[in-house]
Amino acid sequence: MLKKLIEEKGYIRLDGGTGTMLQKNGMPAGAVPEVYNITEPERIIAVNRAYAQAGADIICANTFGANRLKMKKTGYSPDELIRAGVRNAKKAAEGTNALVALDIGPIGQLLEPLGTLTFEEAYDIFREEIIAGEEADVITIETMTDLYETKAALLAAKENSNKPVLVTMTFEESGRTFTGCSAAAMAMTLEGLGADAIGINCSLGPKELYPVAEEICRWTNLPVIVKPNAGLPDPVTGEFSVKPKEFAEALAEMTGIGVRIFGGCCGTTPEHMRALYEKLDSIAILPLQEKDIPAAVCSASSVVTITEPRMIGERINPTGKKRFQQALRENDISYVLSQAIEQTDAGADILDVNAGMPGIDEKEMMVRLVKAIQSVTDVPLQLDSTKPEVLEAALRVYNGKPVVNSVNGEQASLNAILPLCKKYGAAVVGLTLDENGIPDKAKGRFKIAEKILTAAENAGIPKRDVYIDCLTLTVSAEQSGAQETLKALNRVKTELGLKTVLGVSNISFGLPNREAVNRTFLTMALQQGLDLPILNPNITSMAEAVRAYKVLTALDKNSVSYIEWYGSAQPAKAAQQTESKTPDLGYAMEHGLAEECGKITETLLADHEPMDIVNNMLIPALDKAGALFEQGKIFLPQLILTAGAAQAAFGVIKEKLASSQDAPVSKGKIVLATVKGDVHDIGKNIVKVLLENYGFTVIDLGKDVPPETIVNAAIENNVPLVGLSALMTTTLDAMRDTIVLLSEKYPECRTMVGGAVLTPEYAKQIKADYYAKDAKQAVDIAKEIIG
Amino acid sequence: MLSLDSINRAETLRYMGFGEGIPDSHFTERINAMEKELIKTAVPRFVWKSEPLVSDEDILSAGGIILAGNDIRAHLEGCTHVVFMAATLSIQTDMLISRTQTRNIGDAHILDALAGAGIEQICGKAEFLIKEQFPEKYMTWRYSAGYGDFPIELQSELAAYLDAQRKIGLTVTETSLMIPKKSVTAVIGIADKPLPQKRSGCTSCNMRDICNFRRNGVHCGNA
Repeated sequence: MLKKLIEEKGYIRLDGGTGTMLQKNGMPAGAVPEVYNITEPERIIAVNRAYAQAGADIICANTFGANRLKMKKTGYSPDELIRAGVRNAKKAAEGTNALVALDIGPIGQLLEPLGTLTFEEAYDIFREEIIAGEEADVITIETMTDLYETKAALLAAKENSNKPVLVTMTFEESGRTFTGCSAAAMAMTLEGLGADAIGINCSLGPKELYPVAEEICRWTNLPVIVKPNAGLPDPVTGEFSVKPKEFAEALAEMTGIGVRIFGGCCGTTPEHMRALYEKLDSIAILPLQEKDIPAAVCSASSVVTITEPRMIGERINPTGKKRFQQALRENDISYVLSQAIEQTDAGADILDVNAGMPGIDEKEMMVRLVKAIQSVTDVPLQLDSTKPEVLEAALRVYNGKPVVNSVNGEQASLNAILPLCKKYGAAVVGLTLDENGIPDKAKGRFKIAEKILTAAENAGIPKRDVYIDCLTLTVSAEQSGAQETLKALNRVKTELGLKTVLGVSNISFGLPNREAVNRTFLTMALQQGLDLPILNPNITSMAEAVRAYKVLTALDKNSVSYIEWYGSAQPAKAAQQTESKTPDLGYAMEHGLAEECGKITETLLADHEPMDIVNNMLIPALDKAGALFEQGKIFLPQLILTAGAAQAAFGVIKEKLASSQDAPVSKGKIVLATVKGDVHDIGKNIVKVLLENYGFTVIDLGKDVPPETIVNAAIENNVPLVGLSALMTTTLDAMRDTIVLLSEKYPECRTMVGGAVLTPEYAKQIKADYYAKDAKQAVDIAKEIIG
Repeated sequence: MLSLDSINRAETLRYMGFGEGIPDSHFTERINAMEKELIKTAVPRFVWKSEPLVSDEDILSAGGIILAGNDIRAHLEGCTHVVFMAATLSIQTDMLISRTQTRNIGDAHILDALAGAGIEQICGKAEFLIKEQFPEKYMTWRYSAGYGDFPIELQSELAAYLDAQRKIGLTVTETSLMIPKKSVTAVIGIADKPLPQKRSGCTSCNMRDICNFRRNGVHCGNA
């Protein structure tokens, strides 16, 4: 529908501001515009009609904020407000050709991980709006700043209607939204998810938005929308600065970069629109040419182009890793996160995420891991599973454009996986194997690659999003195999023009000095055209090979990146060592040197039993810090730094214990949570680290946790103690409710409470068993109860 | 646009719970490093609007917002207008603090305190810029929802009135918590005549009995 309109007229006319028009016409500050749909429909119709009569092709119904959270206090349901809003707009459009858009704005609450709304709740809120707006002709989603929320809205629109969807987000002059989403990430994610047109609205005037519009146009072949404000309002008078003529001229400039859908946002009026349409009608607008878009994937804030070799980190995978398996079994997500951060710091460009192991619910774990990992790193993810239902669950909650690992040449696999990649806009790894296994020769693998490409294109996946894996076989088993892999890789790259991916570590299985074989094979593969090596970036020599390769092939211009990585590393390290001479564990802990603590512990493990280090070094050092703290000789922040450093040492010890299959020693389990409605979790996390240091197993339920969840976790794990944190006066009620429910359902469990606004008196009043004034006291309480 | 620069160290140490302690060189180095991170990451923003103050019998309001409670009434005595303002260190700051917790909880604790002092700095700068718009007038200090008997629930009304989500990316949860966390909303009174020097201290604060600062022998920065 949109494309047809553009073909006919060269461009599409949207309308201008609604809220600012209503205010101008006497709507008092603080009034809810959507309620006017029912109470004062004639005012709404008048604004809608002014735009329809000015010549808009699409007018937006007054439904922007009509979601169930924002409308809660109005006494009206989103359904009645939206139906009335669409009806009003339809009435206003009578006698014109204007189509009516169901207009959807942000929910008004921030989504996870930093906000309180889950992705699934957001989807449900939008779904309700989409269904209520069924009488509209198109859907506009606008003024979005969070890509995750935008994805929830767009998915809800695509899954609950057949209307064209126009999506715009609000960018600042920096080219990013408030939440850090870049124009490129926005474009590739929303195009992938099936938006019909994408672009920008609100925030700035037309001139300031030009560079952002240009960037979006570079990354999409969809029609691009621009709806600027009429400049900025004066904080005293409320007047907007950009007048109709200036507005029209600045927007008309954007036809040159490929913008084809025009309208206005705050402060724009029917006069602005009339001037705009007149101006656009007076210039020649050429049909858009399809352009080449670089292969790339992204998170919400970081785009990785596959225009040079990029490293995919392979460590988030339980296969063959005991410590990792233990972490998944025990729901120890923080271990997985440390793996994500370690690889990111080592320079991984993309992280592979695999949650498949016997005995756990892979789908549920995959969703948890994807949500948790994307909260700690900006690096795009590669979702790794053989099960379509696991992949689909992960694709839904991923924020950005991911890679799917993988599809293969089997028809069943192609049929199941490719439609998912198409629907969610993911790139896909194609393995060159099929019903008959892995072909011995390069020719056979190349044929499968061709088959995968054809199937992907038939499924509507662009060629640039198909990455082929020609499969590494163990060289000690089949020595000529390495050459066949490389041959196939080269042909896929040069003859099919596809990006290539390859796990390199398998090559050396069964050989001594595996690293040398891996590194050499990696270098050979890069030379044959490998784009995406899957490897362990923490192994220095592997990452070095990739970086050196980019220098030698002039991909790393002036060796800038190489020098950044290695230029100052050696001297800095030397300086550090001379400064601290021969640091012992106690010294490193006392001064909060986490990295040192980890390294010293590793060294100590060579001739000490892990538990000896814990009992004879770590715990005494912690006790010493605790005693100094109580004597007022050191202060809370120093105690916390010491605890953080000890945490690094414990990490190394746990790894060792897991690999030697010694049962990890736990003093007992404790449930910790920040209560419902509260998002302040740093205090709770400090308590967690200290408790773990002292050997307690902490079941960390996170923040904003409802009473039922806390009580259920306490019962399920049969814990003797629950710790609750709240920072705000407004959330103390939730703390009390939790204690009431706990004493009802699980009376033998003790509670301790803490947080900035709590006092011993209040703790007593809400019948908490213990009040912990700080993290140290929380440990003392745990020791008293559990031992 | 505002920017964050060198952050008040004494205030930061106080937020951290450093009491009367003096950090050693290692610790100071850590604070310096975290301060650099924060300044690099935070994208401070603010928004404001002024409205005439309306006193209708017993009800005080401005721009349709009812200013409930005795404390705000006392605070605005002698004022003709109010400024509503909101400021934030941005969600990037929340993200930085949250991510740092996974790496090193001690560093996160330092960052959290720095950001607490940082948002005060930004509010101070914003206030300075607002003041420039009223050259002949006199301004009270910032009064926030949740001070004294000024209801915290007003937080969401103020944010909605200022269109703070759209303008500066500030949202308020149903429990009146602001996200980004390092954010402030406030009311400032504007008067034609000099205002009496009111102590903006604990005596006028209804939180005084449960305040952790007071318990530790310090105060929250408005004294």
